[in-house]
Amino acid sequence: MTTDASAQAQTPAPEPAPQTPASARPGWWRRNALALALAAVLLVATVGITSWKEWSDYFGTRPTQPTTVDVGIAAEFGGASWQLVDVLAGTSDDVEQIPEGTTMILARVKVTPGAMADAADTAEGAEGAEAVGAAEAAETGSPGCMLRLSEEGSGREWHSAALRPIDYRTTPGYESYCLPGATEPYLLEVPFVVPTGASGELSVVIEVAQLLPRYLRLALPAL
Amino acid sequence: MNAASTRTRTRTRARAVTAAGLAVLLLAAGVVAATTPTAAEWEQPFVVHAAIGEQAQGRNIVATVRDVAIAERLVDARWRSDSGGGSDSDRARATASADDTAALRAGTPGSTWVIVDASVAAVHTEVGAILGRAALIVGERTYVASNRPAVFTLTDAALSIEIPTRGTLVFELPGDLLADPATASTARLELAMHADPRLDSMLVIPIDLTKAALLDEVQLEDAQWGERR
Repeated sequence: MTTDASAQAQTPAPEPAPQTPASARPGWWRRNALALALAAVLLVATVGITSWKEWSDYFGTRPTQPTTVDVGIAAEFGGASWQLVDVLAGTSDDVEQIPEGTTMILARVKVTPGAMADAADTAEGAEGAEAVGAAEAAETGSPGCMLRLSEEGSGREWHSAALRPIDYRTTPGYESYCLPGATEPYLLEVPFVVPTGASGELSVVIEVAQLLPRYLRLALPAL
Repeated sequence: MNAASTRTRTRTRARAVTAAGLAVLLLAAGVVAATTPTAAEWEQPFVVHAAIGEQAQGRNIVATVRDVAIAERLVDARWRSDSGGGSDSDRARATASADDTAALRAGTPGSTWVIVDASVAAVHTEVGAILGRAALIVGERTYVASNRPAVFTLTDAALSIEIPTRGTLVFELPGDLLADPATASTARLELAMHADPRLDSMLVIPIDLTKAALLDEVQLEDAQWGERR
């Protein structure tokens, strides 16, 4: 179009063109520049906002934001203080009830409901939300939770093996599940049975439903 | 004169270009509409094929089918397939019809059992890891694994990472199962974590039922968790 128009302009015309030559008018892109720019902005915003909403819903309901705690350190989470106090481990050579080639890990965690005093000692946690959680817990007791064993790197996750046919009974004086609403400190004991190779960077994962996507990782010592 | 004819030619060419563009767009729209995958297509499971005796590994399920047999009767410590009385859930399901209930109590004459010996494990997480789908597809029909035996079968077994649970899956089929060898020889077993296998791994093992051992009676044992000494 433009080439034709300029070609026409070069041709010696018998009469002068009645209108302004087409080449002098700004092009279609130039005339619609503002609308195009707005459309581009809207497109980016639409895609961005929709995806952000979808992804934040997805990640917001899953454990995606860990607070990692070193071996044996107490950490404030969900209005209670959590501390790995003991880990017992034995391979199938020592523990005859578990399958060949596996290792049994018994993790013991001390739970202290509403432990505001401990929060000051911990480097991690003690953020605003933690304080709110702690205040709530002071009234409602410690939270219910889900415990798992997780392996850093591979991302493998184990459930408690308490219900497996391994003749396991929770040691007297320990609890096998979190006690929602507890106001006194108590000790948790959870057995895990893992393949014997899986000994790198294990940690006990504590999830409190109301606090997702945040969760707690208590590191286990090297086995 | 010259300029006028040039202008007419230009206009004609512009119209032709517009028409061609429209035709291309319409054609493209037609192709897109005709080739758009249906929900059934884009939601289909990620199938992993393996033969009997071979390990099949999906996203979070790994299984090996070791053997397949056909038996007239199943027996375990507390249940016999020919003495009637399914599990409570079977009976509850059958209350819709008095005839069905009677049939269950009297056993299911004329049925044949396909017994699959397999081991199954999880791969990377035990959270939500169960054998939720175990189905035998024979021709057009899909049979899900029976929960009538009293022992622990692999049906809905909780899976552990790298620690295989070994046991049986039993399928109750019509007695004329082998009447059509063409269909019976091209059966397949489907194993997946969820009863609805869409958008996740599904292990598919072709099974030639005409080559399976034919037995009168099979004694079922509880599924076993891991290798024991």
